[in-house]
This record gives sequence, C-alpha cells and structure tokens, in this order.
Amino acid sequence: MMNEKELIEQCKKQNSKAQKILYDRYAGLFLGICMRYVYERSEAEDILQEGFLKIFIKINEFEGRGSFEGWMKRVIVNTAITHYHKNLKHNKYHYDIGDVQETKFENESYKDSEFTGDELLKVINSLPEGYKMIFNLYAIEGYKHKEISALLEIDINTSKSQYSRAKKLIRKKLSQLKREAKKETKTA
Amino acid sequence: MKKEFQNIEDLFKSKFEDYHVEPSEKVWNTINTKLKVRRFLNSSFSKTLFFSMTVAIITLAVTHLKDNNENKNNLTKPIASVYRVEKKIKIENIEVEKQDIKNNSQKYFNEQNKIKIDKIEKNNELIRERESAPLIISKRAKLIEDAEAKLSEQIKLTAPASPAPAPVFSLDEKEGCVPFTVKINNLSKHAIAYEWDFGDGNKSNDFMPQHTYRHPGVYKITLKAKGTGGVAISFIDSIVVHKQAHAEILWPYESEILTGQKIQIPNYSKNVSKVEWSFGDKSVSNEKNGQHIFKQKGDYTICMKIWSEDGCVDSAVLNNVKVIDINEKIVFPNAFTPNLDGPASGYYNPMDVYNDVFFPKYIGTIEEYELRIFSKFGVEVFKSNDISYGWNGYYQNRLMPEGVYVYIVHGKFEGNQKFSFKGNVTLLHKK
Repeated sequence: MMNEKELIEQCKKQNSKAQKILYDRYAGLFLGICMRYVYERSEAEDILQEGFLKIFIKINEFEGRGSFEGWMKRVIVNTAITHYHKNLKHNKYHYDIGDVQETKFENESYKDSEFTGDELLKVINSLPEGYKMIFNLYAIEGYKHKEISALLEIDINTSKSQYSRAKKLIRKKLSQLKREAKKETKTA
Repeated sequence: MKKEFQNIEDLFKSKFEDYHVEPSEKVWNTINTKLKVRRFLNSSFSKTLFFSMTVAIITLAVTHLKDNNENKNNLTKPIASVYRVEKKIKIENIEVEKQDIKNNSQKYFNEQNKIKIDKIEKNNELIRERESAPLIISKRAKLIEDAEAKLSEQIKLTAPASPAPAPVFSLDEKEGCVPFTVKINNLSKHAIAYEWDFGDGNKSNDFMPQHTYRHPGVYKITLKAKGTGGVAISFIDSIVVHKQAHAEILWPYESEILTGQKIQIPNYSKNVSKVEWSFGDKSVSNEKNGQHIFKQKGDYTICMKIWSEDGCVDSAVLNNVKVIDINEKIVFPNAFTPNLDGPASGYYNPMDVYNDVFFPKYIGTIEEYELRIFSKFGVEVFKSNDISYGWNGYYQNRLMPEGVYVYIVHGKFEGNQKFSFKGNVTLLHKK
C-alpha cells in the first residue's frame, strides 16, 4: 500500500501504476461530482476523463500545501466549468426562466434518511443549467459568490439572485418528493 | 444514522460528500492511452526512433492516400501528426530533418510511391499555410487526438524484441541521518520485474521503492532485474546512515517571565557537537544551556538548533514565551478554601489571610476585566467584570463541592497591554 504522499510523488514521475491507483481511488467520487454538472452520463464521463488527464499532467504544480483531494476536486470542477462555457457558446440548451412563484414552507428541516443521493441528483438535474452551476458551486462545493461570478463570467448579483431562485426551485421539488413518498406509504 | 438538517445546503453537502458513481471502463482506457502517448513523446527518444515513427506515419499517410485517392480533406489527418511530432521535439534544423526523412522513406518505398510522397510534401505546405491561419480550436484538438491515437498504435508495432535487462539505479543522497529515507530512481531498461535488497533485511518488488533506515550503519543496496531477455544484478554500496541528533530542552518556569529576569533553559540534547540558540529578539548564543535576559515585553519563540559530529541536525522550539513588564502582572492562586458556614462577600480584602475568596493579585492598572469560572461539567458557576469582586465558592447560594474548577480570564491593562489566559483552581473544604 502506498500512502498519499508516495502516491503523489510517483504520479509526479508519471509512474503508470501509481496513476492507475490514484484513478481507482478517486474516479467514483469524481464522477459523482461530474454527474451534478451535466445532464448526461456520457458527458460526465468526458469531463472525468479530461479532468483526470489534467490532474496527471498538472500534478507537478501541486505543491503539497493544501489537501490533495481538494486540489483534484478543484481541477475537476474547473473542467466542468470549461465544459459549461463551451456548451454556452454552442448554445445547446441555455434558457432562462422567469421568477419562480414564492411558496411558503412552514419549517425548513430535512432528514438525512428522507432522500437518497440519486433522488437529490435528479433534483439538481431538474434545474436549468445556469442555476445548476451556481447551486453546485455555492451550496455543495462551497465557493463564494465572488469566485463564482469570476468563474462563470457573470455579475456577482446575478450569482446571488440566481442562487436564491435555484434554492426555491429545489425546496419545491423536495416537498414534492416528500409528498410522493407519503402517498406511496399510504397506498402501500 | 438519523441526521436532520436545518437547511438545504447542509442536506446536499452531506449527501454528496461521499456520492460515488462507478465510471465505465472506457474512461480509464482513454486516459491511459493518452498518457502513454504523452510519456512516449516526452521521453528522451533517439533519432532512430524518431525516424521509424516518422516513417510509420508516412506509411500511414500513404495508405490513406490509397484509400482516399485525391481527397484532400482526409489527407490532413496523418500529416497533421507529422507536424505535431516535429513541433514536440523542437528540432531546430527542420530543413535537414526533412531531407533525412525523405532519404529514409526512399529506402522503404519503391519508385511508384515516390510520386505520392511528393504529393504529401505539397499537402504538408498546404497544412502549414493553414496552421498560420486561425484554425477552429476544437477541430484542431480533434486532429491531434486522432494523431495521438494512431501514434500509440504505431508505438506498439515498433517495440524492439527482448534484449537483456539492464538494471541501473541512482540515489538522490548516499548519506543521511536516522530515520533516513533513501530515494531511488530506477533507470533500468528492458526489465519487467524487480527485486530490491536494502541490505538491512528488507526487500521490495516495486518499480521505484522508497525505504527508510531506522538504525545507523553502512548498507548495500542491490537490484536484481528480470526481463524477457534474462536476469541481471547491479548494486551501489555504502549508503551511510548516521546516528541522529536529538534535541530536547525543558522550560523550567511555570508563570510568565519578567523583563530583566535572567532565565536559564536546561539542555538535555543527545549526540551534540554544536548548539545554537536564538531567542526571538535577534540575539543568539552558542552556550550549552540557554541563558538570556529579555529586555522588552512580548511573545517570543525560542529555538535551539543542534548539530551532531556527522552533521545531523535537530531542533527544539518553545512557542509563545510570554515576557511581561514588571509593572504589569496578574496572577491567580491555584487553590482556595471557601467559608463553610455561609457565603463570604465576594468583595475581598486584598490583605485577607483566610483565603476564602478566589481573586487575583496584580500590579498595574486594569482597565478591562472578565473572569469566568466553570465546573468540570461545563457549568458557569461564576462571572465577574469587576476585579475587586472574586468568587466565594458558592453557586446559587449553595456551596460547591471540592474539586478542580477552570477559570478563563481576559482583560486589558492601562496602555492597551492585553491579557487572556485560563487555568485551574482547586476548591477545598477546610474546617
């Protein structure tokens, strides 16, 4: 067993065995990330492949100061963002939606056991692309609005307002999911 | 695992922190192929290899020509790869190379093909013209990708057949101190399996192992390499591992030290031939024990560095050494005995000899002050913002049990010198 430091060293020397080990260790987790940024699995795999290549090629730039996993995640997320920009230029499926109607929620509290990861992925994938990017970056990856506005080349206020709309949409979807689950248990 | 989240962010964050999707096999295969091509292109490769590759590519180009006759669009693919290779290797004299390629290819092709090679040359120029014009990036990337894929096929074809293995390795350093991790660069050729003997009873079969020696001594490293062409052995001896230097000092003072106070820090280091103290105020000393007088108040970092006879280095550091001015000081006792017959007044008499109220002794003028005391269960049993008001050992009019309590105090002397620390105080019931 190689520890992380050795693994990084070997990958820096372009040792193919080490590259494979690194890939096996993180590919599943990173594909999980990629899946949140696109709508199709094949697209997600393209990003994963491109992202890993970047990791292997740029690994010498990793100076070992912060977390290696965090660094790799950033590379993957950046690849996803580049992919998003490309699509935006080709204008494949970019559209905007009007204001979402405000719905009241009595108390916002969610149980971990209520939803599965796959369900939440579907919820994310039901968002329009721009919202989805912002939600992923802000809520899950923990980027700041300032960083997001730079990465996506949008105004910081756009990032903020789109984020709050994305959240409203997600709340709606989550309560729908809850209701559906209740119905199912009732009928069963 | 029943977690509940107050907001969406936490729910999503926790769900996706460990969300895995298994990628299909083709992802790794693609990555691996591309890496192989990169490794190949980056490795220092000999001219002959370059020729054989170029020739292989031209062969490819010619077959493409045959397939697609005069179709110029299809021609661009293989020729783009020639161009890329040239660029990669940065050969300066392209003109000479081109001549060489031509000569070489003539060995491989008969007269009939020569006409076609001329055509390639023409097309090559055409491509170069196009290169100077802005090509659509994605299209160009696609060309390079295709070319790399083709190259990787060719690499397989041109691999040489089983020469004898040549085990060679180099060491970054041949001398070090315990624990000494030796970094080995495996430069072997024509080998498929390796057997390392580190000379201290440890062995490895890794390609590039790392080994740490935990005891001083002289060791011999042996590498045995196996290839399809047989087995061979090589070794480099005299890895010297020295006994480590061990730095150890002890801070003998319990409270803060004062400006003008002479301090002496005992040195318990082992295997020392040279000592260097630095006290954090730009003064240094080479004496065995650290002796110093701080002239100004502040937080200092004291560092002692030692060298052994063999040049092994170790150091010990004391962080946050607080030096305070003699005119500004606050200290608390470490025990007190509350009045058992009923709560004493918290407003204490500083000269009191009964010790039934817990309060600090201080020099200087205190401008801000906050004292909080906690029981071992974390209950705040006392709080005061008045330095003349101390704790009588009672909480909600009940005498607290014997035991250790934690106090946290912070505040400010006149002139902005801040203090903030915590400590333990033992409460005792004494008749």
